[in-house]
Amino acid sequence: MKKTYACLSSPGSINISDSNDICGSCVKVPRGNDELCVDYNASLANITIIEPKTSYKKSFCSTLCSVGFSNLLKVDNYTNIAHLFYKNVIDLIILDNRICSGDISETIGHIRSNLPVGNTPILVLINGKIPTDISKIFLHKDCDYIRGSAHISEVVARISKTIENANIVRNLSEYQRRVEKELMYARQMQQKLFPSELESTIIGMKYGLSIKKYVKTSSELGGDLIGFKELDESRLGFFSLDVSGHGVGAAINTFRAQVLINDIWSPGVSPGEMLYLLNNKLAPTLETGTFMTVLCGQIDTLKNRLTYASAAHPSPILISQEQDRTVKSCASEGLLLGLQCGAEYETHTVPFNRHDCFITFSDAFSETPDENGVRLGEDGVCDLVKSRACVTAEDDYFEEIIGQFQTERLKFLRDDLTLLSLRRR
Amino acid sequence: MGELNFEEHITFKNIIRLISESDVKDLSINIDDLTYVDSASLGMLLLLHEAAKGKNIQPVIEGGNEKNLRLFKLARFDQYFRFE
Repeated sequence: MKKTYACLSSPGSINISDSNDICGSCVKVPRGNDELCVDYNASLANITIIEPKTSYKKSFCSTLCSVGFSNLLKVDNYTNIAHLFYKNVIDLIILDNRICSGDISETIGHIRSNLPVGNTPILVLINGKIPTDISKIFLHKDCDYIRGSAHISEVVARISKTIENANIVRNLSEYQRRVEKELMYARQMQQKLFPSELESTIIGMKYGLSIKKYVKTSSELGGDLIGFKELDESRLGFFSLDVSGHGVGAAINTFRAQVLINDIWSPGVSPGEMLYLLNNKLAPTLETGTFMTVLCGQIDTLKNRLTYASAAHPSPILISQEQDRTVKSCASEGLLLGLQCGAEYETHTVPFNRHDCFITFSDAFSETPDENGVRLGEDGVCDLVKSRACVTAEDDYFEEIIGQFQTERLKFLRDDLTLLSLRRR
Repeated sequence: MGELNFEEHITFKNIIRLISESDVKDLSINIDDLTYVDSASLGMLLLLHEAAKGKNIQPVIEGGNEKNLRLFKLARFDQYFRFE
């Protein structure tokens, strides 16, 4: 295969960078009695021209050279051109249709299959009559054609536009790839905020609890979080929070909340005080309209009680074994967290004996509709737990509740969802 | 009859702009026709409250079914809105 580098030294070429009439991103190139406007970036693009063997003067390569394109590579065969692309970054391929042995579309397919990067744009130069199957060109991405008989100004404009469009697509693709990668890292970081299965098991063994959790985010990053705080040998702190909205903004606020909770929570701080202090830290920093619902609690295994406070988090459910396994929804009123400093939160106390279970969940559990548009609501959640808790073994009803949700509602989930179940052994 | 959820945020933005740009003296939100209010709407209502506060108005929420009023009660919205 013969290849020719055509550039500044070629007969008839001009050096566009030496041109004395640069206007914005365009360069005015003298052309007979006229001037031709050539995009400066396009003139520097690496263009490979696949055209039949011909004298240089008559070649398309020479035509482009004469109007200032300087990085041109001319080849006369497309069957084995892969090696050219590994050494050079090619911005555009111009394919003369006379070199195609058969179907243009197949030729494009062949060239594309040899490219290390599949999205290099191809401009087919149609010499002679337009083939009947010309529309097949558009079956390929980033392909277009131009007539060989077109005025040079049109040729230059088409080349510039094709390269420009390809650059836009490439930049967008790179941006998308970068954002996806960053989101993936952020997601991994956020997942590490949640207690792992191992951590939950160890904490459960230490405090005599069976801990079960279910977490589902509606996008790459979520606005829900649950966590534990080991306060002392007999007291375990826990929290469940839900930042308004979801996605990146909500996720950043979960990071913020997690740091503050760990910082604030000490053995002497009750759940109500905890929310009071957390709210005072968050309120000045959250934007208007952004808030959190939070439930935080303490299990005291010595005193057999559970204390909790809520900032408008959905009402938690207590399954008590005292009287034939009763299920009740607990009080959960409280000002949304992050709205105004000084808000106070009530600490509630409930008995928490062996085999009792406390379930807290984010609002997506009660608000996600089924296929008929029916939502469980908080009463419905309580009824669901009742229906399962009364007939199922202690360690199984959480899975059954989740299973029912997954069957009926998961495909309609549009918000982040967390459930946390804490059962004393 | 309808639902109040985040899909209404454009409408809310328009109302908030209207409040900011006009000489509003009272603001009442009648929720009798709302079958359902989701928690994301609370944020939009808080933005509405903020706009009303800028005009020295205490916004009023009128009517509402038991479920919806329970959500407002849960979030202690009585500190921001007057309920009638």
